[in-house]
Amino acid sequence: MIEVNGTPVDPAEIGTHPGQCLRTFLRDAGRLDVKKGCDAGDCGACTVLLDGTPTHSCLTPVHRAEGRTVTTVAGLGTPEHLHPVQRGFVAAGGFQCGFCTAGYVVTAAALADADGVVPGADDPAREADVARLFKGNLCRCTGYRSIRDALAGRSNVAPDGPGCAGHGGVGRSLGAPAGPRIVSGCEPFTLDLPTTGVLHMSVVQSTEAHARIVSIDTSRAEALPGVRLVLTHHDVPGTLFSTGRHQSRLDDPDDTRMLDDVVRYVGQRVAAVVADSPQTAAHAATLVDVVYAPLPAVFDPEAARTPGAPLLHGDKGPESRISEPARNVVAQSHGEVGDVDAGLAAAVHTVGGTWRTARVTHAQLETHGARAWVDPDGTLVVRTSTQVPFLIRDELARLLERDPATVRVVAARVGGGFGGKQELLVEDLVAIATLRLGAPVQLELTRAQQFTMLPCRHPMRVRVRLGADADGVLTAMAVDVLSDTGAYGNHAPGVMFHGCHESVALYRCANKRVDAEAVYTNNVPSGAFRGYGLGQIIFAIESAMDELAREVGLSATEVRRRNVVVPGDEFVVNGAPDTDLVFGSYGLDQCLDLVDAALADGRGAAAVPAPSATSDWVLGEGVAAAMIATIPPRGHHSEAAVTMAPDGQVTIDVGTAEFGNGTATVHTQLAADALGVAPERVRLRASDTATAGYDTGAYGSTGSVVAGAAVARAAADLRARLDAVGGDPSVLESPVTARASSDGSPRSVAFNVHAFRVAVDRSTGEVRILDSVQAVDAAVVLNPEQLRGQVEGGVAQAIGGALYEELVLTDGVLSTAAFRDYRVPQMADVPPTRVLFADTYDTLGPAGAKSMSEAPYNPVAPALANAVRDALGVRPHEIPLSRDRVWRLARTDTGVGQPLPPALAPGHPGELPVDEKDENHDADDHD
Amino acid sequence: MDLVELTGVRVARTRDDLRLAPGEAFLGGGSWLYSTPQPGLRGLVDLTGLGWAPTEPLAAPEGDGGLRIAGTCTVAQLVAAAAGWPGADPRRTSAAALVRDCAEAFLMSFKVWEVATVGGNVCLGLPAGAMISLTSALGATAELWGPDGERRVAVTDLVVDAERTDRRTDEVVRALDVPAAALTARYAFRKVALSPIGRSSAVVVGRLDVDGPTPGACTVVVTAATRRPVPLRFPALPTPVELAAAVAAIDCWYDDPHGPADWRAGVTPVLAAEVLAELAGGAGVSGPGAAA
Repeated sequence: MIEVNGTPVDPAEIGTHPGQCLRTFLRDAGRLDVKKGCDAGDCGACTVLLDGTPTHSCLTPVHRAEGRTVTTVAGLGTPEHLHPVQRGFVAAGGFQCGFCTAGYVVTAAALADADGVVPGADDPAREADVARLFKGNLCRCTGYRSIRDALAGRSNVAPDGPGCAGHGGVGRSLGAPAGPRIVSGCEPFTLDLPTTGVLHMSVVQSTEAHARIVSIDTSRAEALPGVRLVLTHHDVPGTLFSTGRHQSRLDDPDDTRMLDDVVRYVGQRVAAVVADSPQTAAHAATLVDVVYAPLPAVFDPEAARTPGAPLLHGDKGPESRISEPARNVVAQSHGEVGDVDAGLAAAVHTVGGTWRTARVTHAQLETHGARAWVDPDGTLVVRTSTQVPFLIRDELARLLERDPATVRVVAARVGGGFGGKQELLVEDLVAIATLRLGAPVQLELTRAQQFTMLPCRHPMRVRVRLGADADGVLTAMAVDVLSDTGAYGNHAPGVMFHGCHESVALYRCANKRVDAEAVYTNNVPSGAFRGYGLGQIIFAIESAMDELAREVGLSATEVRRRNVVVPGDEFVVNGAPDTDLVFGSYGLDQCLDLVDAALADGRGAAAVPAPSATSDWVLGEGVAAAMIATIPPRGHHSEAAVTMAPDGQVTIDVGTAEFGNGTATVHTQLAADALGVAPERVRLRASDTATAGYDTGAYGSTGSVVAGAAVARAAADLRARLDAVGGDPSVLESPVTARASSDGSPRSVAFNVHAFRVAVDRSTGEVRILDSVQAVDAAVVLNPEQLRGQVEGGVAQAIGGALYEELVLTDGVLSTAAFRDYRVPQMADVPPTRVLFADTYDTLGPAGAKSMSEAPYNPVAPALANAVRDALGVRPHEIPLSRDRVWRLARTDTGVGQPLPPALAPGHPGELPVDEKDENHDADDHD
Repeated sequence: MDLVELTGVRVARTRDDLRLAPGEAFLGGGSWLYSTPQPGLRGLVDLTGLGWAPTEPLAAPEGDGGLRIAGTCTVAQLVAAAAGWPGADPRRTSAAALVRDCAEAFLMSFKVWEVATVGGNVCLGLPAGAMISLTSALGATAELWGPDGERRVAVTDLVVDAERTDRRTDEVVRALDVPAAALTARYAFRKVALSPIGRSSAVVVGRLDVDGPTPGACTVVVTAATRRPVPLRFPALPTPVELAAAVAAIDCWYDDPHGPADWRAGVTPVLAAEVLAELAGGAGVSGPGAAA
């Protein structure tokens, strides 16, 4: 017997597997508040109290829980009667997607005092101790500041109360409506449903980087009792599609099959097993025998586009929309405005270099997963962890040759996205299996599969050359981009074009040239990732701008003031300017001023570690700027409905998904404001293709500015209708609904400027962030606390990519397929960031607001690299700025350390080839 | 995670239960076993049913005042025991701090300390294994129980390479025996990782004996940076040059996603120098070399 939340549970009655851990047992027993983030003891999402001691339930063999008591987050409190720690997380807004929250609350509950405060959390001198206590709890959304506030008992959300009634609205730090449910484990995420009668799927992955499948023997798998179905390429449609999803399905190349007879990367889906239990399915997956005939493989994108390279999709025709299959080029852009050569020739100052970014992953705490079933009326229902339910519905219908009206896709609250869930990655397999078997089928990916099977962020190599006159005004700008899209082209064109767009268009320069290619390799595919290509190219351009400032003798902000676009300028890359991008507002000037003022106060500089015999600290400052369009190009649509019932209850129906971006809060605020009701009277039904009007989806930071705009318009229309009948809903005989839509055009631009002050230890390569400031131009701030949280979370994720994170692939094989090896920032790794808001009003956005979800990521890496450059006197050319790389940089400057034996010479995968190092002179001559 | 190929778990109650059937392995804390798929693993034999005292005084003849750490002692139990040492015997203050430092060196939090065992961590042979750092510095000897008898191996000899030990799969680490002199020695501890409190890339522990057979002797143990623990032994505190030369002679630098070998070889001397400076600067040290 195991006592769970005060109730005895008999394992024999539930049924256990000999190798079962407590986490899955508890979920089998109905405790769906126990989450899986990693299933490996690294992330803490599954933490429960075992006889009062906080324990990773994924590491606990279920037999060891016999005779003991288990308390889950739901056993601590309920939405109506929250535990003090749970109240603290609501008051602080200590979550975004909320998937890690259960583990935080349980861990904190074991440490906290009667008021829910973790001892020491409210003492600045003990911040490091608290970070140590929580190093076993990862959060990918918040950047940890709001979690620290929760642990310390600090409140950030606006208080409820009579004074607030009727002012739901805009400008107030309303807490997320789901807050009390999230902190008590009652908010259902994708797979938080009972599993009775549900079959489970497990995926077999390729062990080869490039091979033709000669045969697949499924007999050993099928012989395992409980196995219902094994799907291989013989059993699924051969229709080509792209996992990447956009408003126009033509944006991505059709180069992917559900299950292919050719594998193009290690980790690719090869087969899927369906069985009565997840354990049986996973076991059976190991019994599928695949015989491969290896093909030549290519892992370097430069080699991949060189004549003679193995072709990944050479067999595809024009219908696949691959730019040059015979050269492994998925997408390309070559163009020039003005005359770059002339601009360089006329320049007084020229700088240039080649920059590289590593492969990084989203690391949402909720892994991808979906469950499919068929409703009695024949509708195929897929509940999935997606940012784009309508786009998934449409493509599933196409793949399965069904009328979209017979497919329903629904997303519950999504446990983190960051672009990674703008893809069709699991829905097709569960859908086809459920249609085949007539029973519900569920697939929940493992954390290792998140790393090895799913798209990551495009690694890029970016060459930049800038020319400027004596005053530092640009005369030429040349950018050459090589993007590694891996084995498939999902998002390859979009990321490449977008990456080159606002990064280059930010600067006013008569002579610009951009050459960009996205290239197939036999690496794990790349895909959509927060910033959508901008971060990689901004890293290079902003590093080059920093070098230009040094060359000319200007400050980092001044060189930008002299060159950035201002209202009246066009947005130019390497061809005709955009026609639907406008300055709905402009706050970049304010952002630059805000950052200057912040750096001037010298914060953190006094905290430089004292020099010692062995440490060698140097100080530096760095700044970088970023621009982003508030909405993606070529259409982004949302149709919202707002309904007022006679009792005053308001219901919003909108198709966009909430994945921690806070749109559920913003939509509630916009409707409450327009209708003059308290936010508590507003209910949101979202992300269900059966109940909501069409929505392109939650990507490109559109949840507020497209879906939100539709909600605001519908609510305003409803207000007008109510006013026409006197304004009081009680006179209504039946609910009244108003509908409105938004089409995402024209679009505005938002700005972010980041600044760092760092100390660098030249003896170890450690980079210590002493001050971090981001000034943002989001125009009207709809919800200050949420916006601050979005910025902090973006900065934290970017600090991860800039300092720590790297998917290490060797010949296509990943050696960092767990959180213990892939360094998602933990609490101790993220310094506080001062978030400063420009004061502008956008003429396009809802209530004068602009989007601000992806953007905070983009200026962080170059600002940090520029600060390291300032400290060391040597410019970094690749991220992450891991300690080993920084240590080597320091040695190139000073010759610190003794020569190493040849066996120890640096040769890790990120190291630049020798011939390219020569290009990385900080200021080069004309060549 | 669920170990999907498992067909049974036995809880060992007596030594006779420790004979493994084909496909079986021993289960200590389980914090590693349950953290990653275990292909081919059919059964587990849970050692925690044996009821070994987590820590106990080391019986003669190995030594009066020594410490026996059970293979099944959890990190939390050892940390708790060590927390009581300074009160019981002030000469153990530095050793107690070393236990804490090593526990904190784990990537894993206090929650996993409750589960992970000292013996299990040693048996994994991971370069970053903090209990390998600890027991190597303590000069501990492992007592291994096999089906055909017992044998004793120094931890620094037991761990032979990255993720490889001299333990046979059918042998259990009964205990890690720590000699008395290790508990009264003075220690200095340094660690570096690729993130502030991340998985260790290099750990250097310096030890200066105060009592025992070799007072004044100094050992500097390098772990995490190397494929196996590397003890550098000196009859007295070495000079910085002597220590640097010894570190430079190390030939088994480790290379993995937690740090390339060149950087590890580059930062380990920095840590070693700091360790030496701390040992040399300490008050109350006597004997030759104390002034180095």
